[in-house]
Amino acid sequence: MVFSSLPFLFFFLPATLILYFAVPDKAKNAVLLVMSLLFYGYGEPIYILLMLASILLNYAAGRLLGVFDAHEKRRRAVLALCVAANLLLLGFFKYAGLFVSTVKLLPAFSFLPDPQIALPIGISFYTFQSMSYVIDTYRRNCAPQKNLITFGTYVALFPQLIAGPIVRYVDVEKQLQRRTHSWEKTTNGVRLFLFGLCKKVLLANALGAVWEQCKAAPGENTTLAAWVGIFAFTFQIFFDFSGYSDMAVGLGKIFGFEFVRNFNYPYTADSITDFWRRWHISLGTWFREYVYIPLGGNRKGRARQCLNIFIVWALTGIWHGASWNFLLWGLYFGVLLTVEKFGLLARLKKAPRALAHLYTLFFVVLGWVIFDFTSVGDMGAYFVSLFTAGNGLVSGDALALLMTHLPLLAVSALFSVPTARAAFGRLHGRRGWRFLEPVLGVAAFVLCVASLVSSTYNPFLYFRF
Amino acid sequence: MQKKKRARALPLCFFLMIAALTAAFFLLPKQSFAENEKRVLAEPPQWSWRALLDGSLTEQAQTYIADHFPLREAFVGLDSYAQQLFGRNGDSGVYRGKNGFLFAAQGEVSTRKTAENVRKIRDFAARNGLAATWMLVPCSGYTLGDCLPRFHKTYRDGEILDAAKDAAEGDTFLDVRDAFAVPDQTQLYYKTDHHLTSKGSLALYEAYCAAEGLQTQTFTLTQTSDGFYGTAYSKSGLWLTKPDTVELYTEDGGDYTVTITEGAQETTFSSLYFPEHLKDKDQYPVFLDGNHSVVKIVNNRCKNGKKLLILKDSFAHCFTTFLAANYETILMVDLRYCRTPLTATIAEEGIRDLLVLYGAENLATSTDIAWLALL
Repeated sequence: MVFSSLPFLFFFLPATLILYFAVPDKAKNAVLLVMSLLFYGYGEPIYILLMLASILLNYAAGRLLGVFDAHEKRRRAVLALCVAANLLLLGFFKYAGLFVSTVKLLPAFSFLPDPQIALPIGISFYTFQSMSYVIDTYRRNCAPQKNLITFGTYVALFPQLIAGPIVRYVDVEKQLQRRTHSWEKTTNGVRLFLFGLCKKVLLANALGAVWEQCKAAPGENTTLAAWVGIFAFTFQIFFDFSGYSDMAVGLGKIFGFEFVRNFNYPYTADSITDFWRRWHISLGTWFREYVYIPLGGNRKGRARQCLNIFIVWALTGIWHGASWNFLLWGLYFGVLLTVEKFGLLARLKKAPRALAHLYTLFFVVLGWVIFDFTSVGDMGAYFVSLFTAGNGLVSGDALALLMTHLPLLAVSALFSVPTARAAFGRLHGRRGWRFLEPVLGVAAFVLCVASLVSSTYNPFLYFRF
Repeated sequence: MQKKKRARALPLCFFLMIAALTAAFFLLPKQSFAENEKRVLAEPPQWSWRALLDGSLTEQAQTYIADHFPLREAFVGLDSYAQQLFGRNGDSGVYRGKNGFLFAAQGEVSTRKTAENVRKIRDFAARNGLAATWMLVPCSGYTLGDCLPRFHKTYRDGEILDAAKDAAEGDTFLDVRDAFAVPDQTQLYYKTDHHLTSKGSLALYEAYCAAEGLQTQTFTLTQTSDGFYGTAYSKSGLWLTKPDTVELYTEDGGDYTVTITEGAQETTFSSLYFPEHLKDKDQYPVFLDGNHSVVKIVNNRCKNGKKLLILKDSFAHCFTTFLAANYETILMVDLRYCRTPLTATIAEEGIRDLLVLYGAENLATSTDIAWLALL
């Protein structure tokens, strides 16, 4: 189930809210756990079992780490086994298909059957969350969780289950035991949820339709159409992902949680290094805490640091999806970040701000081409149409595409920088805003619902009676 | 106290909206058919363990909720107008043009596929000894370029017509662009529908008669019907658009026997018009009862021995109500639905002439024409 859907908004959400606030504090986690499992099972009922297995595995590992408190060797073995098991689950369910289809390229292995494994939704997110728990328990950053329901709630918690943020156990350890609920939190939560819903439904979905048109025939776009398309995708992926994160954080607030912020206006970054401090922050944090620093980070000399950067970025890339273009995308940023680390960053600091922003945006936008084409041939064709005029510079169709989506792109740009949000912030203290805000909120919600309903409106024009 | 209340207004409004719509979903009576979408709406999900486990239960539930969502069409309309307000004219697949015109946007068309389809029909004609005449109707967006919004995707009907003309070399190819080139005030197309109006069809009929050396008959306007909302309207969601008027031109003293065949079932009627459809939103089926696989029209007053096979889509329906006056027998076949052999019938009836009448885009994209090889 996704948040931006009618079943979630009008059935799952009200049912969960009513149950959650009807039961006493003691039972609230249990309600969240059960509802989260239902939420997860809505799309793939069978994979509830996988989720339960993952919960049990990591719970047991945590308990064992507690039991073997005085035995360092045993603790290390438990950690190694548990991390290996988590990676194996992730590897099997997410990457088996990619692995087999790649091995099959060798003639000797071409007989292998394609594994038909549907990707369990959110597995990349909850596996990483569980691992953060086990690793931090091993490091004694947190105590083993003895209550299975509490732990299950942490892993399965539906707000961040499908698309993050990746909440580290240490960040919510206390909140899982005890959290407060207030109208103020709820108001902030609803506000953030609505904001995220609008980003996803009103902006990202519409931008996606523009990108689809340009992506369909990557070798046939005029230069203008290619740039309109990739900018549409640039905005789409930001509003889609950050919209989802906003909804997750908003829902979390309603249920008393405080999750970390996942996006901080990434397109306002003035270097690639800065961009990755602002984009999908929880993933970057995870890789820094559990891969980069354990590998030695920047403490073991330049050569080793380089290697560490490339390991982290290869993994970051492939984490985004089981396809080699994601690896390429990760390495692309690995190269850019290394170049920045060894000199460019210092120069960027002295360069005019506009130039630094332009440089960053240019490489980020081009990165999205690599990100969204799984076929290298299509990717290449799209790059060619971006930088040459082989199909012409402009066509009537390309101009129509641009002009009919210019307001959409303009609003997208406005909400990619802090200006719009700051303007809302200034209104908060004003008289009249307390009447205006609920009105605007409801209007925005109605527009989102209209768009969701409209997407299911499907005239069948040659129907026979 | 004041401050607390202030904090509650937004979430309370939000939760109330949800509660109201959810309650409405359960309380409001459910419709079984959506007239604008011309489709049957989803049934309530059928519970079974199997459906639960393979995920089809939740899929059914999702469709059911979407199909029966309260104020569904009002929401669709709101979204459509919001898109217009945002400058996204055409994103729904329909352009809002000038003078109340709605234009269906064009999908992907290829001239290669067009030529291929023309060849398939020519093969069929040759096999059955038929002399073919071609008429491809360009879409309203192509013909009425002046009424289109300033920014729109190019309509490629010109290319399709040229490609078809080349591929049909040797046959009579009646270029509808010439027939429609007359600069007058005639409204050739409906404003809310993709079809030709009766006047547009009449212009087509006159052009056909001129090309085939037929005597044009006289027709009188006998009935008009307001409130026709066509396919472009249904697709657009722009519910405030004004409806079209359907005009019925009839031949004085016309006497016809119309036999409609659907599979093994044959039904006979005594009129080219089916006025019961004038009560619907979509009134175009008033002509020959809309889409059917095979329709045979016998002109009881005409004994000139002229017989014609028409391979067509719905653009032919109104046109044929005029053309029927000139032929003793017309056999109208819709390849989207017809899967019964034609060769025997053509021989039995002694048909020697073929008219191919399609909307240009339909001919350019049709995958059903391939069936001709088997018919």
